[in-house]
Amino acid sequence: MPHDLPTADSLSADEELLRYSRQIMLPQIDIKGQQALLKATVIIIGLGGLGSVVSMYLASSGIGRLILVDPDQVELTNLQRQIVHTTERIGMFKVESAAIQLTALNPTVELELIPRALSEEGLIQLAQQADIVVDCTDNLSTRFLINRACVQTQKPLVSGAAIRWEGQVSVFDSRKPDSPCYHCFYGELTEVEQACSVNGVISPLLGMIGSTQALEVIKLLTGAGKGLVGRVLLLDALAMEWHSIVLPKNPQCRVCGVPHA
Amino acid sequence: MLTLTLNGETIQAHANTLLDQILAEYLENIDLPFAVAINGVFVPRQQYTKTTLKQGDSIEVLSPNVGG
Ligand SMILES: [Zn+2]
Repeated sequence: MPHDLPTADSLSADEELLRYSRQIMLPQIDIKGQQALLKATVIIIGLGGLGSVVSMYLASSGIGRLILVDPDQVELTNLQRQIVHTTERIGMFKVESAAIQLTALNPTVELELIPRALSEEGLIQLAQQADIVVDCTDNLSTRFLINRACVQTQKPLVSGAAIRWEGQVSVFDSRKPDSPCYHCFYGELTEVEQACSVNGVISPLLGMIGSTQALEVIKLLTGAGKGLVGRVLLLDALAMEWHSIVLPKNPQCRVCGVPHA
Repeated sequence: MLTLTLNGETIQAHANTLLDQILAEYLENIDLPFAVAINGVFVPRQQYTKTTLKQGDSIEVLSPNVGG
């Protein structure tokens, strides 16, 4: 794109247009959608296999501010699938390792790094300053905690999970009175022992599920298309089949079933 | 008798059989965590003892997925 000698301001505006031009040309995004992305704050909890992919696509797409939460450090066994991290960053906090890669991808994205586990209170406070929460964690109790905080603060929750050759994605949006929550789905389950160290997980599956989560975040922020609220999308990677089940709100759900005060 | 499918396999059940009876009969380990959908619609656990099945119903037992 030829242009006159720019000032510093117009240069950054032009560069911004260029950087995002291939998605701005989509009528469902346009300048308005890009501005919505640039204004948005998204919390990504878990910078493992899913969080790697979610954070890279959201940073490159121009989400204004990403808040990264993960108490863990990079380990050798992570690197097969947690592609935001690198071999030389083993031992570094995952949020710090991710920040290096995300800044390299897109230095204009503002990052806030939280290298510790959040309490429910802490997450509620944090969620209040965000537009969307993305759950990329690896255990049921944290997923329940995140869901409660999202219902309480009425923030949309983009939830993904991947183990072995199986993946699933859904969106729970407490702003909508008929939306189910994560507890409607898995609330009656207690312990699900499902560490990757026990079950194994195939690496590109994280890319498919993480990409789907990032896509749903962009759709929520821009209003493009039809979201996943009320549906759980399931992937069987061995058969390479996606299908979805309908997930109605459970009126007896202990988390979202009672109307908000 | 009703003809149903359970995770794609054809099974037979008496009319008026409840979902929880089918699960007790066919699941290899009922103590492992799972979720159920009938004809592509999720069924909350509280409904297992109240849900009857119709001819041709497709029952899907899903193992939970919380990996990240
Ligand atoms: Zn609920």
